[in-house]
This record gives sequence, structure tokens and C-alpha cells, in this order.
Amino acid sequence: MKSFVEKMGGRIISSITYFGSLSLLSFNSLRHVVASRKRGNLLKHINSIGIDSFPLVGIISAFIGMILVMETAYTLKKFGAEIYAGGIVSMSMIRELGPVFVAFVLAGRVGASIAAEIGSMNISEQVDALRMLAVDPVSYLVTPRVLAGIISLPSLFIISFFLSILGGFIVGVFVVGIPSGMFFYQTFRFITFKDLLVGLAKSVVFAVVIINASSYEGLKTQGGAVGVGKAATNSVVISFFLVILANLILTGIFYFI
Amino acid sequence: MENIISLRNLKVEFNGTRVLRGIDLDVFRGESLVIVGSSGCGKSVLLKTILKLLRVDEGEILLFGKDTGRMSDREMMGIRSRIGMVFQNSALLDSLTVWENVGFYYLYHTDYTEAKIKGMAVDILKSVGMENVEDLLPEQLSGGMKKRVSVARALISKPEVLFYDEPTTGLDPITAESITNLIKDIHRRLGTTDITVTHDVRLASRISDRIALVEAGRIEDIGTFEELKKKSQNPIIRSFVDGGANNEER
Repeated sequence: MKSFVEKMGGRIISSITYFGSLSLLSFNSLRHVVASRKRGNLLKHINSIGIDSFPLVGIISAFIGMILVMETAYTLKKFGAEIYAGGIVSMSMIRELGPVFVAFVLAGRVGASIAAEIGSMNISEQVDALRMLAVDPVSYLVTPRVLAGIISLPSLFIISFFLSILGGFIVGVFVVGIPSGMFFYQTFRFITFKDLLVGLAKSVVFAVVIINASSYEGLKTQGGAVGVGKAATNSVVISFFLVILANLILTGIFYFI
Repeated sequence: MENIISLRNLKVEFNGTRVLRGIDLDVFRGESLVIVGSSGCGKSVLLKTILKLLRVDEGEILLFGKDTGRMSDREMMGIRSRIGMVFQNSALLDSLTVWENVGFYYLYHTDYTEAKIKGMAVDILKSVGMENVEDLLPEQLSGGMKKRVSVARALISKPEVLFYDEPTTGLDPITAESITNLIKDIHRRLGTTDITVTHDVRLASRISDRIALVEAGRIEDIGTFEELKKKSQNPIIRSFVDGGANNEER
């Protein structure tokens, strides 16, 4: 019994320490966004985080739009209401599915790569070398990536939204048989500017969460190639968990605003 | 002589194991101190602990007369800019070219033009025997070349103290010899205070003013190579010193 309590206590303490350290890293990385004199490699990171993710995000978004229209039209047809399928796609994508889906793609594609890259730098003493050159590793390695994420993820979210509408339009008009004008009318009828702002705000928060969690996993990597592998896996798992947690909190906040 | 580094009862635990068990050491300005010991005895941990790259559990570290335990990260960065470090694996930044690695300190901390910094990097690379490599990436260099670039990077900010972590490990004998000569030459030319961690007794005997032998997280003995050779009956020291003497004869 005692050992069970000790184990649980140990896990609770290590979880608190983990999230405390992660919060501190996030605070520092954001502080440097404002304070840093040099924004080394920002364009390179925008390229790898944003532009390189575009094909995957674009194709999957179009597919999601198609799937959503087919699934909703199947049910709505029973009530003769399939013309609303476009509206359901846009409502789902703009506030909820869009930001979360883009965040998941980014966590899987970019988060793992950031954790592996920084993890390799850590075990090959490159992070220590930065410290010895009087460079704060957070400022050099994490902040430009966070900034690139803050720029890239909302942009990908907007692209993802319109491509999902396009995917939904193709299926809605050519497969389900919804008149094209009606599809567009219903698609944009119910969404407001506030919905777009909610989606963008979530994207920014998810970017900060994913990049910091992945960087943190990289910075605490130990133990060679196995450690790098673990860091990459952990970064994806933690990012998914934190994105859902942040989404729950933000959805709760925006529900009341 | 001025005391540059003072360690008092330094204890460090690393991954649940006590690696340093109470180290007391003074390093004086201008000397070349070599820390020797078998693999895993805590030499590299000692080096990184002095530089506050690892956490201290107990004890005191004074760098340039200042207690690092009371220093903020910003103050510690200021101290580190007076120290150059050559890492065991060279630790060159993979994504940067040779000249960017060497000139990184100035690229990051100053508004000098890239052309000026590249010129400085090329000059310092020449001084360590490297020419026409400035535009290569680290992956295009051999182990010995990486070591020299790493030395050039450590030298560019004109440090007062140089730390070398296993500078000849993993190099063939000829390259190891050339790196040994380079370390000696830099020490003589620039008058730096050098601290070198190694288990290469030949290197230790050639570059040291004093040798400290670390075993099981403690300093077993300290003195010049000749002193240790004459006085110490400690079997660990004898194996090191006799090994070094044999190497010298060869």
C-alpha cells in the first residue's frame, strides 16, 4: 500500500514538475518573441513548419470536407434537409475541427521533427555549445520556431477551411446534387466574423503549445538515439493531449464570450 | 598567482548516481591543468559543472573570484563569454557553415557585417591550420578538422580560459599529435589558462603544468607530471604515470 502511495505521489510530483518546467519554457520563449534582437532562421522555420505542411493539410482538408458533406447529407436526406450540409461543414471546420485538425497534423509532422532535431543537438552537446557562446538556447532554438508556428498555423487553418469547403462543394454539388448557389449560401449563412476569430485564436494557442512541448522534449533528451526516438514520440503524445486540453479550456471560455 | 577557478567541496549527482564526491581544486592564471582519470570517473561532469552546464548539488564554484551559485543566468552568460570550450564531439552546429560556426559569437551578439565576421573567422581558422574550408558544412569535415574548427570557435571571442574536453579522443595518432601541438601552441602564444580533461596520458604529459587525477569522483592526487611520477605510490596514479612514461619513451 505504501509503495503504491509512494508511486502515485512520485508520479504526481513529476507531472507537476513537468508542466511547471514546460510553462516556464513557454513563458521564456514568448518573452523572447518580444525581447529578442535577432530572429535567426525565422523564414527557414516558416518554410519547414508552414509551407512544407501545406500539401498534406490541403489534401486532408479537402477530404474532410468531402467526408463531412457525404455523412451529413446521408442523415439530412431523411428529413429532406441535405441543402444544409454545406453549413454544417463550415460551422464544424471554423470553430472546432479546422484548428484541431491542423494542430494534429502539425504535432505529428513538425512536432516530432522539432523534438528529434533539438534532441540530437542536445546529446551531441550543440545545446551546451550555444550556452558556452553566451547564447540562450530558448532564444535561439525555441523562439524562432514558436514565432514561425504562430504565423504558420493560423495561415494553414484559413487555407484548410477554404479547401474543406471546396472539397465539400465538389461532393455536395456533383454527388449529392445540391445546387451550387444554395451550397455556398448555406455554407456562409451561419458563420460570423467572431467564429473566424475563435478559430484563429485557437490556432495561435495550439501553435504555442505544440512548438513548446516538442522543444521541451528535445531539450531534455538524454541517452543517444533511443532518447531521440523517445523524445519524438513523447512530443506527439504530449502535444495531442495538450491541444485537446487547451481546446476544452478555450471552448469553455468562448462559450461564455 | 591569481586564482581563476576555485572549487570547494563540490558534489554532483547525475541521473541518481553521485558522480563528484567532494572536489577541492584551485586553478591559477596562465597555467595548464590537465584532469586525468579513467572513463566514467567524473572528469567531463566536473568540467561541465564548473561551467554551470550541469547542476551543482553541494559545494561552491568561484570563477574569476565570483561565486557562480549566486549568479543569474545573464551574469553566468557574461562569465562564459570569457571562457572558450572545445567539446569532446566538437559540437559544431550542423546547420551552419564552418565560418558561421566560428563567427557565431559575433553573428549573434554584434551588428558587425557578415563580410567582416567571415573575415575574422577565416583569419582565426588560418591560425589553427585550416584554410579554404570556411564555406563547408561540418558534415563535410573529418574528425580532426572538426576539432580544429571547434578550437577556432572557442578562440574567436579571445577567451582568458580554455576548456578542452577529451581533445584527442577518437582521433588517429597523427591527428591526435597535431591537436596536442595545437593546444601547446595556443597556450604559449595566447597565454590562456587551460583546463584539459583527458584519459590520454601522452597528451597530459606534454601539455600540463599540473595534473589532477580524478578517481571515483574525488581528486586522488595533484602535481606536476614529474612529481607524480616520483612520489605517488597510488596504484591508479602509477598506472597512469607509467603509461605516460612508456608513451614518452616511444
